[in-house]
Amino acid sequence: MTTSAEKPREIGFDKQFATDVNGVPTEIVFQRFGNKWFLLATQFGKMPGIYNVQFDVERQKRILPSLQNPYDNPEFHRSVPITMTVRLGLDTDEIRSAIQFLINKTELNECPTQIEMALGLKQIDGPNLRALAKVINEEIFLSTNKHK
Amino acid sequence: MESVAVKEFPKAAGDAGQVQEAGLFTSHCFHLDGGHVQFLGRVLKMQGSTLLIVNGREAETFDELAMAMPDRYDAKGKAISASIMGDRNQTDSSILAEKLSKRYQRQFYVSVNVQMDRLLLPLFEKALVTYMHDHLEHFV
Repeated sequence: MTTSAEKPREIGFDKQFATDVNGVPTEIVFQRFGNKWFLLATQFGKMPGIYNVQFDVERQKRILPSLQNPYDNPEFHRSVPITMTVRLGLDTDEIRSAIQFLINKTELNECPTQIEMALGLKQIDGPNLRALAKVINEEIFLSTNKHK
Repeated sequence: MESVAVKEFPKAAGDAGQVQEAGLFTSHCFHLDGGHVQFLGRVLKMQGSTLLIVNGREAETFDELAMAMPDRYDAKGKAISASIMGDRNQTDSSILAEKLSKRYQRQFYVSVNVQMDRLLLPLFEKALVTYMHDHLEHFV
């Protein structure tokens, strides 16, 4: 067996970068695997809690988009129906709310399979989550779609 | 108010294998050529810990994840491990995580998503350890 370093790629994952989210340094890693997506967003410099997100209605089976896709309206808000399972770390209402928020507000809800999400935020609130959602949409999905 | 700023760091000169994109984490992708079986590895170096994901070259999956860390109360530096995803019993991921953690005295998250038998596993481990030895800066 021989080893060889073939490394035409810049980084080891689909996306890996650091950014400031409301002034807090945040490390983000994203990878599309064949059977699931992996998203790591941490402000602690290490692996945070890991949560599995399964969509109650698979994307291919969403025959009623008006009922099964997110509807972002202050008066008639509707979330994407998902089931979260804690793999590692604390299971709190705050973290579950944060995950649901990110699923609703980003293109993560376009995932055809399931998502392993490692989420570690120092403060979970609206401004921080909106800022993180913006980063995810712009730096992961927008730039990925540009190359398609 | 929300504010977002992505830091852009230039690629290190002469280093085609890795880009340090800002901050603390670095990542690296490598291939292990094992004759009839080829492996694709992805590694993320974090503060005090390392994430290693190993797949075959054809299809990348993410089925298993195990974590191991050095046992600070063990004089021999033995590592303790736990399965996070996949089989709750001892898996290739947990065994490899334990070995790496003990060897480098560092927390390792390992995901091995290739079916390996008793012949292939030692060859893979040897190739991996050799590669890690030669490219240690990507791992620890």
